[in-house]
Amino acid sequence: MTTTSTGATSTGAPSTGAPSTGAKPAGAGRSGGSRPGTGNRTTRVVGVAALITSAVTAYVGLVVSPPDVTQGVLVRLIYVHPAAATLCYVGFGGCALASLAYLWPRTRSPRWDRLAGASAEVGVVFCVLTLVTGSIWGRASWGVWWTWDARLTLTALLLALFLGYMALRRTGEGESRALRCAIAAVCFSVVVPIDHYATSWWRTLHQGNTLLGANVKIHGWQLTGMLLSFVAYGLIFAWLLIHRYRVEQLEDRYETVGFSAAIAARRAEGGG
Amino acid sequence: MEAYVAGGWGAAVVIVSLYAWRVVHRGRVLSRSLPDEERTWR
Repeated sequence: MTTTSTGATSTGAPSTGAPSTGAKPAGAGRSGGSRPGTGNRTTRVVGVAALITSAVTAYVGLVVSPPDVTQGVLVRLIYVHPAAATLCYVGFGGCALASLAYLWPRTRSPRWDRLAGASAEVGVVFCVLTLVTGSIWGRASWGVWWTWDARLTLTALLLALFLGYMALRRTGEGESRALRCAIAAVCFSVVVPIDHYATSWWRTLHQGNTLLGANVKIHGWQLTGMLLSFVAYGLIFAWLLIHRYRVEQLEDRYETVGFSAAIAARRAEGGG
Repeated sequence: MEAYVAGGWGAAVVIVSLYAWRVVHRGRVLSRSLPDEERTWR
């Protein structure tokens, strides 16, 4: 799918007879600019809320929240790392749920396939963020950038699997591709709960759950900052997911328009 | 230790911002490639 968008960039618009560039897009007058806007009311509200909560999280996390007794200032990484890991799970879990909805004959629709693709890609971004921030935290507290700990290894495996899923989405087309990808997503997502419970099932260097369970390990401003970070990341995730889903819609539309243009061109050649 | 904290926060800002820009850019490129009445990227 992304190949198509790259193709659009390099080869220009399909020959539909409509102006491709330089034309004032429909609706441009509403926003008052010459470029098409990227938001609607929902995305604007979500985007502004994400910016505000991110700023408040940064203030609480970097200024208000006190250093930890054992971790010192490193505790400030707790406001970027756990929320990213959680949203990574949400992305991959959402991809699996959308794929299941696609696989179920009664609910089968291209919308679920698009949502699965969008959710997986946003999940991959948060997975990369999890591994990068986790690696930085590991270097500071364990003295190594990477270790073959169960939690770390399973997170890296998740990243590899869903990068493979994204590659699979670029192969083939139509319903067979969507079915193949949906089955793969459901299989790959089995690793998500294993990764989550890795710190309980095996002896790991990675610490266990901070918030979940009967014994919550942080309090006060640290707890407030951590909860705020979940809200901020959740809003960022929602904003990215909505926009990525709309890009999937545009890619599908581009493929349809391009195909129609090719048919029309072939007919014109035959008629001439 | 502050450098690690800055690195973690910086990585978060850079990764999320770059991806957001890329998604919006892709949408704009695709939208320009479609006829006016087909554009849903508003």
